[in-house]
Amino acid sequence: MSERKKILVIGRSHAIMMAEAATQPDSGFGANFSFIFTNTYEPIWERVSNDPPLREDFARAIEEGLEGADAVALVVQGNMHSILGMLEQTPPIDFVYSGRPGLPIDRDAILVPEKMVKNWMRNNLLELRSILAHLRHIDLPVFVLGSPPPLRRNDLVLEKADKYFRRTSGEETPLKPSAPSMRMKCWLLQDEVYREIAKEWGVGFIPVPEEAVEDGGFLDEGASGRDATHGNRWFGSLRLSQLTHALAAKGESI
Amino acid sequence: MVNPYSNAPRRAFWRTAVTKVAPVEVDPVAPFPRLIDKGTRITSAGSCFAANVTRYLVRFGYNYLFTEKLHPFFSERSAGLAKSIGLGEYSAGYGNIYTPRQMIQLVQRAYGEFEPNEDRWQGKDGIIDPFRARIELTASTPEEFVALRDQHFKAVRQAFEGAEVLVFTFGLTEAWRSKEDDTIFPVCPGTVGGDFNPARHEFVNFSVDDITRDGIEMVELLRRRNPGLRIILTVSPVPLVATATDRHVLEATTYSKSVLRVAASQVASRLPDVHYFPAYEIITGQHAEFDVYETDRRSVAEKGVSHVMKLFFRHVAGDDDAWAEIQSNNLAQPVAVQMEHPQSAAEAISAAACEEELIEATRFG
Repeated sequence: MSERKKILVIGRSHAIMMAEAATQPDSGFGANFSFIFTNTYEPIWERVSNDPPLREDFARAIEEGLEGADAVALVVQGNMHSILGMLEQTPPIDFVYSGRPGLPIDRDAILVPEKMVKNWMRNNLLELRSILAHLRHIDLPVFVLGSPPPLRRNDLVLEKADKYFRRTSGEETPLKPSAPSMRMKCWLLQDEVYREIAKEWGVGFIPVPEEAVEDGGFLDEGASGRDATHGNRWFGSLRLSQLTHALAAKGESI
Repeated sequence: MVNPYSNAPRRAFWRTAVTKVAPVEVDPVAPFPRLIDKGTRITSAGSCFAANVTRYLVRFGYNYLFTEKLHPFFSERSAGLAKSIGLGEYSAGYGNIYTPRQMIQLVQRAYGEFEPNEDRWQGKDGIIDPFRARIELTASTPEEFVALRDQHFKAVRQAFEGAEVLVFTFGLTEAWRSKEDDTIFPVCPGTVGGDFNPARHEFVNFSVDDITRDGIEMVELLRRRNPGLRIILTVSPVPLVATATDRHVLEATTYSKSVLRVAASQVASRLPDVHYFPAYEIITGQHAEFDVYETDRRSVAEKGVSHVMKLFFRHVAGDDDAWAEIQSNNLAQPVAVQMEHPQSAAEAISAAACEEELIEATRFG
């Protein structure tokens, strides 16, 4: 009988529900999971530059976490789409997503080129790229996980908008969700960026589990967490299952 | 003895208007109507020198209309992004407009009255709008191209319908034209996108009659949508970056600027509420000192621009405060772009301050 595999998960807020799911009794994932939360080490760099080295204690934590590990999963950042697209910007903003050019456009919004949105997302994924750079010499499977898609219903988005969005919107400005199509475009583009980065670094990308997605690609409300941007424990457990299957697909017996 | 010069003002005599005046004090502006104050809605267009007007009007608190701006989500997160992609130089993102024919076609396109056969170019990074090639709003898909262009057209309509005063700078007589439908391209096909095809494209060097006729048509076209629009014409003092004629670039520049200068006066004399402002003379007159141009002898130095603008404020706006501030060397930020040693064609293209410079960038980059 083979020893249970160990997967190191490095992440931030989207890793929390995965960690909760992993600690449930009889979780039955066929693997053990350990977690490093990047916000414990914020900022994760010694200094900010184009190619910043990780700060020493964070790098050490990763090295310790890698001991005996069979794979690494990165659930880093992932809310770029929400920052731009969850709530309506003032003035409204929109873009044409080339992957699905038929999605509606708000003709009253200021349109920006898709490339501009994409560049902004890429440039802001420095944390993810820095960790990938740090891991480039390890001889283990590495997986990048995208973040959950947006909710479809505006009222649910409004109800669940957390303090970050309430603060950035300003107390005097009533929150107004973006159009569902705008939320979806932002998420699709971010997902595309994650896939591209994973490919550039030669690591695997694990898409959002189909069971957690409803028609049109929105997050199934049954998978939604306490706020409007994160998944719940069930979503986290689906992610852990995906990871064990992805590791098995790499030829690792689970 | 009385003769026509007996009671002429001091400005009519070279000795009193030029010889005995310090270069920075020379003021060739004849009585000019007060067309603007700080509440007047102003727009501008024209060749690259026209962007200086925008910069100074904004700097001194005038009501310059901006109808196409980068969304604050991006401009607030990335200082300089709007400028780097070419938005903010004019009311809308139309880039430099070198000839009145190009301006006419812009307005016609914005109102759906003209649809060029060749309305987009494939560039290395996506679909380029040939009529504003330096504005970095390259589209990834045809759908995105149309959406961004429609937004641009809306902004163009808003600018020219909403303005009370338009400052338009004539820039060039040389242009590239479609043989199919007379579309004027601000930059030669094949330089930043598209393909140059002698069967489809031709060089044109407009004459005085052409520019005059087009200038009048331009004003009439704008006033069909905005009857009260007052217009200030200027001629750019910036020499040609290159000529497509068989003449030396200096000779070609003299031809071009002479034509434009004559045509500007012709248009102003034939239409009401169209006024010529002598920016060209302020920079190129015999009084001008060597350093009103940068070392490339083409880019107008901030010293020259400020001389133009302080006289603009004094005569067009009656704003002696702005005049005094500029006079005391408290200038707006320079925008001159140096092109002496571009590292690569790509860098040169990205550094080019105007579409015209893209010609040089693709040749010598």
